[in-house]
Amino acid sequence: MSDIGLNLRGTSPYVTDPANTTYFIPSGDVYPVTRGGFTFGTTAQGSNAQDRDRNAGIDARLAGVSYNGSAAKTECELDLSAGNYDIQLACGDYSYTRATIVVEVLDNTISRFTINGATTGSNRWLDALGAQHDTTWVPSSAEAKLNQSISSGTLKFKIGDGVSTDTGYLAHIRATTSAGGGGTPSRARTIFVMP
Amino acid sequence: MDKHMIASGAIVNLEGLRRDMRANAFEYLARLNAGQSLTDIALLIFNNSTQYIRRVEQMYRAERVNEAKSSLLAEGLAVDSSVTPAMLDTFAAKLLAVAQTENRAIIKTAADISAVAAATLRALPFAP
Repeated sequence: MSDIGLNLRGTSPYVTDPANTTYFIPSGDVYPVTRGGFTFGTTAQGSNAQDRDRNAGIDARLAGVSYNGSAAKTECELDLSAGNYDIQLACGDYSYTRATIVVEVLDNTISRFTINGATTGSNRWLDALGAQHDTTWVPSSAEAKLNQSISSGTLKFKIGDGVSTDTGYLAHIRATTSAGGGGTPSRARTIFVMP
Repeated sequence: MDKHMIASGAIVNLEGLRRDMRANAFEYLARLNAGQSLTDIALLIFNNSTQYIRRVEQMYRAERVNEAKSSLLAEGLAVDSSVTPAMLDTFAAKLLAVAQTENRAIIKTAADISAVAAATLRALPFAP
């Protein structure tokens, strides 16, 4: 069974990562990096990818964030075994007052779903279903997950919309092996969240 | 593919793997000091070392998969550096051996974890 969470932030020692998670610094962790039992990394990034440490006093998975300060996307890859996975996200920023969230999840080249929206203020995060949470949130394996087929064995995710500056804002992504469900949707799903 | 890309890619990939192996060895000791469970750390060592083996086999040997590429690699290395294909082979073999040692380690105690980490750091010194 695979269970891996990537906590995006600015520096590695900022917080202690919980079990089954590790840190990921997209601007520096160029693919392939092996850490936390998995191989992952950034495959493409814009000229102004921003990784930040925000608050070490909250859940470690929400302590940092990665976004794009330029009109570009940061493209990342996580190697998995082919199969069905529950995908969970935490998109938002402890500090920024209105984070513009654009995070796309793909099965290699095939788009699975996109979170597209904004938080209503700082200290807010959107989960993989688009629901908003505050700093009391402790992302757990039981909630807010989208079951997806990753038949290629390559989970990709893109941070930012590639058009505007200051978009993206991914704090945490988790993939957990799922017994069933998933399947291949006829088209990619986009979850719009209106603040 | 351009010979310089093949040559520099092979060096970068192997050096990146060496850095990851060292960094993870330090992380095992940090997790041990932080009181994480032996089972979790042992599983992490096994999973990481499985990934190391996969990386050596896929990334490095793929560059040498046929004679044409091998020839380009040798030519690129000759132009760009004093590194020889034989040196790269030795480097890859060493990384693979260390990864296999980690992968096969029987871990039951904290001392076992310390020993695995120490052996990796000793085998892969900071400045090879």
